[in-house]
Amino acid sequence: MKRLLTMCLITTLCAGFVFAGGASEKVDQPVIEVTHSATQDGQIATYERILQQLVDEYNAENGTQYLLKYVSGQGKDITNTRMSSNDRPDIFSLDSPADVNQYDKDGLLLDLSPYAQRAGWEQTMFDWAYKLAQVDGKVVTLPFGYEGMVLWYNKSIMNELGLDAGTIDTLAEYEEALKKASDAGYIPVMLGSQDWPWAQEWYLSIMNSYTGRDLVKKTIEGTSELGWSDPAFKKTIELYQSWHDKGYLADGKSYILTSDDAINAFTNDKALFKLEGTWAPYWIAPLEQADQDTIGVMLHPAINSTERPHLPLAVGGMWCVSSDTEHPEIAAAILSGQLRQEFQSDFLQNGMDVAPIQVDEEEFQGLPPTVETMWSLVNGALAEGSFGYTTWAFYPPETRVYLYEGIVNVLEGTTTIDDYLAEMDRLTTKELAAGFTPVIPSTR
Amino acid sequence: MNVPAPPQGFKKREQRTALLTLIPILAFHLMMIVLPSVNTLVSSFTNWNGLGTKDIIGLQNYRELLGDPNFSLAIMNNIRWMGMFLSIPILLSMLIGYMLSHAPRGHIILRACYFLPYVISAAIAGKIFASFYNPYFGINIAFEALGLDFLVRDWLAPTNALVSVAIVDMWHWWGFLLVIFISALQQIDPMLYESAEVEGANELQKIWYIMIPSIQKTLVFIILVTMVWSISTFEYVWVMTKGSPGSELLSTMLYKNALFKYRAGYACAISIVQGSLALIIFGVFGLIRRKMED
Repeated sequence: MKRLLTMCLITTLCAGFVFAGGASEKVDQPVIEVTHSATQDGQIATYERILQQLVDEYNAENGTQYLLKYVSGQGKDITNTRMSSNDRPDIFSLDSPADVNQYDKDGLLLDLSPYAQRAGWEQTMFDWAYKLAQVDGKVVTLPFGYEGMVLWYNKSIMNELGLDAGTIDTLAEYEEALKKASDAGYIPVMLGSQDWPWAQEWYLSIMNSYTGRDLVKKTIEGTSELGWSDPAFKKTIELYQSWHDKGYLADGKSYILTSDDAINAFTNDKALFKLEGTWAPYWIAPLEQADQDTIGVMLHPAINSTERPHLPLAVGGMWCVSSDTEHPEIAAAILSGQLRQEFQSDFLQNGMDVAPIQVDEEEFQGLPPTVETMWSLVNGALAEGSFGYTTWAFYPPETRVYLYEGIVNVLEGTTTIDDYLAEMDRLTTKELAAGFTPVIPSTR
Repeated sequence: MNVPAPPQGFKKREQRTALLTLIPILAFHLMMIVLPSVNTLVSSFTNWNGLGTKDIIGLQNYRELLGDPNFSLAIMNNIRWMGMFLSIPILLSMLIGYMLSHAPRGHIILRACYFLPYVISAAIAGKIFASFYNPYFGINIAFEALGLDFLVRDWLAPTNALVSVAIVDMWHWWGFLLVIFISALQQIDPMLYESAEVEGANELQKIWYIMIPSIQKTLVFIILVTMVWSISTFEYVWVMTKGSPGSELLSTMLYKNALFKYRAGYACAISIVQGSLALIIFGVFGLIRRKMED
């Protein structure tokens, strides 16, 4: 009896291990798997609907019977893990061109050049976006969504201090506004990176880009003479540090406050400015109308005479196709389909990334005024070619992480600016030597 | 009285059953622990970016670790963390455990209350305490109201972050230690305490001469798990500071290298160092235990 029980126990355990992974439903139809990082319900539903429509259309045109498997909430960590295994999705999204660079280096991306040519991506997409789609002249990704960093201002405080956003253009005018806000007991600029360390790079994206776009481009490409040790960068970081020391930057607590603190202080009339991305629409919508009305949007004023105010550009994401997909035709069709005008309104209304194409102007009508203003700034900058470079889209990965982590030590006074920039330089040189290929569009 | 030895056939059958019973867990251990560990060891000698091909680069990752100021900082922070956890929660749980085991009534309710933080997830507790540490509406306001201005500080600033996060983790951890200590303390024969009282021993002497020697094995076990766990701790630091400057640990450094910097080979080298430290601690404690048994 005891033996029988033991055998039963072992059999049960073994069966448990065997079936622990679950069993997938057996289907005869081919499946096209699309993974994405979206986590908001509305965004997930919109993607699923649009992707399903594209799959249905493909099936109808080609007499196929593909089933769509859409998996949301797949961040970089999960995507990296899946792509290093044998369980790769057909289509997946990456965060930035820097990520695409790593994937391409390992041959994980399908060469989309023939499909892009057939679908006319080059003619449809913005020039800068088409450039970002390529690595070494080969189209390997579809950049999707474009965004930038802007400065929000609190209209009530601005009025109370007798300031006019339209006249704050230069460093002197900006610093005067910061001082007035500080003297009146307001937090001049709100920024919280305690729970979201990447918030530090928002401001640094502006600061570096405003130092000189050409200089940044050359530094990342490794062709600038002094690299990050250029005195222009030092001057910029000194300026950033001086704002921190004077308490202009989040009371000198930018790395101790959270992103929620930053939003709350701004919407509760305690801060004059707040740094924000143009991707913010999805969380502006739930705000009370009165709170929405108090938000004004402007470009960050200049910090020197080299660069005029512009918009550091970023891409929302990069759609890629796995090099070992068995369904390249439908995968390419799904990517191309997302460039259609008819879907852009859906994307905009749900605060999602839009295609990097000339979207019809009427699609931007009816959005909350703040969102509409942000879009007009983004579109205006793109039309003029007046964009700069965000860190997360264009910097090599290690340099980027050090940029936002190391700055905290600079602000704390535990690292000198010279050492900080020297380390940035060392990391960029190392990453370029290790094969990082910068893909940076030129500005006009 | 002589106990007859079991028949030879019975012994073999027992051994076979034992082996069969162990097969599933050994297979599981092989798949989930041994093979990934070997893979990690091999990868630590490569320039793997976490995605595709791996080129062998010898000891380069380890050499780089030796010169990486972040690594020395992380090691030092892990040691500081270990120091905190080897003192405060262990002493506190032993002391409270001793008091509870002598409490005439109400100890079950108190024990449950003290254990409660242990069942709260790190993500939730971390977020709650991060709010407590907020410079605008957190405990600083309470300190100011109570006139304790000398305690007001930026709790999550790099200079204080490690200690601030450790306090939260200790709040979560000590209830678990308490339950283990109480279980051990309940094994002590009450007659020993009564005899000591008759001999005129005070509470401190009872703790030193009766309690500690009686729970020696439990204490060694607790110290062992605390040390090993301190080497690998991650969740509270990640939830509360994302391993920001001042609170960088080996595990946060490993995570960032593997997932944000595309340096999985380097992350594997960090992991091997972590594992080796844990093995050394295990080895030392194995020797101590053997000595204790002798």
